[in-house]
Amino acid sequence: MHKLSGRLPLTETISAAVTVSLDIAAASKIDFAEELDQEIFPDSTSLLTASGDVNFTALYLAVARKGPKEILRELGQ
Amino acid sequence: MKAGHQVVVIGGGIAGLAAAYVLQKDGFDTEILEASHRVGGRVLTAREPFARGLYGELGAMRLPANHEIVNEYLRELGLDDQLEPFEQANQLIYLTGLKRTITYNAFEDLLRQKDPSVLNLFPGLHDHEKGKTLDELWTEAMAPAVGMNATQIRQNYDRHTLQSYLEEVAGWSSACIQLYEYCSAHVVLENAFEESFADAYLSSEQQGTAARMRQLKGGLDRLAWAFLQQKDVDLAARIRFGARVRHVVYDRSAVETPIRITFESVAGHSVTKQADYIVFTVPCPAMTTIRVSPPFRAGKTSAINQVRYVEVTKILAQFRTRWWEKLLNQKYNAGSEGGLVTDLPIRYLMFPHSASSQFAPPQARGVVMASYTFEREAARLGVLSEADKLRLVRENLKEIFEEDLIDDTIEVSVSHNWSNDVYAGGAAFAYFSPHQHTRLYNDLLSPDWDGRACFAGEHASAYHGWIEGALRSGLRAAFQVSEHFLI
Repeated sequence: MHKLSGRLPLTETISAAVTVSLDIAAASKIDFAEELDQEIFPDSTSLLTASGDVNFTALYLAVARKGPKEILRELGQ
Repeated sequence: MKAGHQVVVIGGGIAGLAAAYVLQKDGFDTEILEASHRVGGRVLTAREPFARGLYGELGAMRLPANHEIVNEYLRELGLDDQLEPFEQANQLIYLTGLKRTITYNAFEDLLRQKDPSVLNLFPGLHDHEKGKTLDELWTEAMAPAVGMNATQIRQNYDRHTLQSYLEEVAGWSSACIQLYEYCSAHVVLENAFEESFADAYLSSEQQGTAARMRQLKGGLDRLAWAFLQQKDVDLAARIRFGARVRHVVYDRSAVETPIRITFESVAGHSVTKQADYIVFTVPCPAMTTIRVSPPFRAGKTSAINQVRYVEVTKILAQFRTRWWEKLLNQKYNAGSEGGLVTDLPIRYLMFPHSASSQFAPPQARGVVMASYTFEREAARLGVLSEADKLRLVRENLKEIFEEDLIDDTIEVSVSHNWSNDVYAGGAAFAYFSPHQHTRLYNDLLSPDWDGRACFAGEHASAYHGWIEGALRSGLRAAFQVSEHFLI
């Protein structure tokens, strides 16, 4: 499974409902096919799961709230 | 804004609306081409031919509380205070061999007691399968997979159908599978047992009994229309209804707007549009009716052609009075709402929550999901005329409840056989066959035409058959468009 190592410190609270902490490798390209391989109940409070995978729930929430361009900018892509 | 920002979205279902909504908000110039006269796709709320104020769902109907992206858009669209419980607990069961309707609790007692009136209906049950409820049998059967993550589930079991898993891994007898097939109402798991075990298991784990089910007051299509009602985005002005896309061409040599889309209007004229990006959000079978030049890469084309969809038929029936509320309570001491499972052709019936907004007081009428069927059973019901469907519902209900009040109260019905839905391409929802997780998934998600064509829809998500999957796929496609745009 694709793992992300280096982290971009972009922690912020997007709403009271779910806190999304953006900490993801700047140069890593997200592989959406990996969503299928995630833990069955991923932690939705961080963009990375405990095992270092992209937390797609948090990613989609961030895209919905801030737009894909802003998220891509924050990811350094 | 640099050049290259015109996006055409094919399909005004939930995935298309989500993609267009987020792209438009993000500065793209977006247009949705929808072949039908409405938004929502496989969200289909029926208000006709029912009495004013009554409605039912012919497509998607449930919103699990743990679906975070659905929750996000309910908040965004101002609908998060419009939810109500969706009643799905099994209350009653009627088996033709048993010749009587009993509560589901009583049925489970008969199973525990190894009562011959039930066990004799399923000759061939192994001794270790006797004396257990369906939930207990299911829990035992799933034990080898419990604790595995999704990757391990796929690695170990993606070759299995649900049936072959139950037979070869869990050791179920054919009789036990028949018992489960006719007596359980796990609607996600009973698609003729031909679906991929991995898809069935993962869907069940993510959206199973632990997920509190809700429905949207006033009908689930309100969610789709709410996307159009957001004034700051104004998707209402950016959607064309009755626009059937026939041909899409990608010109690699073009410097600007390399995508050319030709669609036919209902009025019969042909229109061509240019765009920088295109997002296909219609179900795969519907996508095959669109000619694309050049063809998509082989893996993409193969995935579109092969992905397996489930057949579904639903019948909604209106009754002059909500007789079931009194009957369930007084005759069966089973509350006033909930599900009924039967081996009769209607197979599964749902009496709505007594406080549901589906009712329109002060009138006493009510609409019931009188039949919910899958696969071969759905195909058999799907070919019946509306009158024959209503007749079948009436005859089955009379056999189940032995009450004259069925004849006295039944009024009208409406049904939908998704196999005959031309806009959906005959697709109800995707459910992979064995190996399709491994072989097709990446091709379903990934862009084509040098990143100019992106793809969304519940089939291209980890949540098959759920609005959550449609929303996620729309956001993912929007992300992929933006990713290409910013490079």
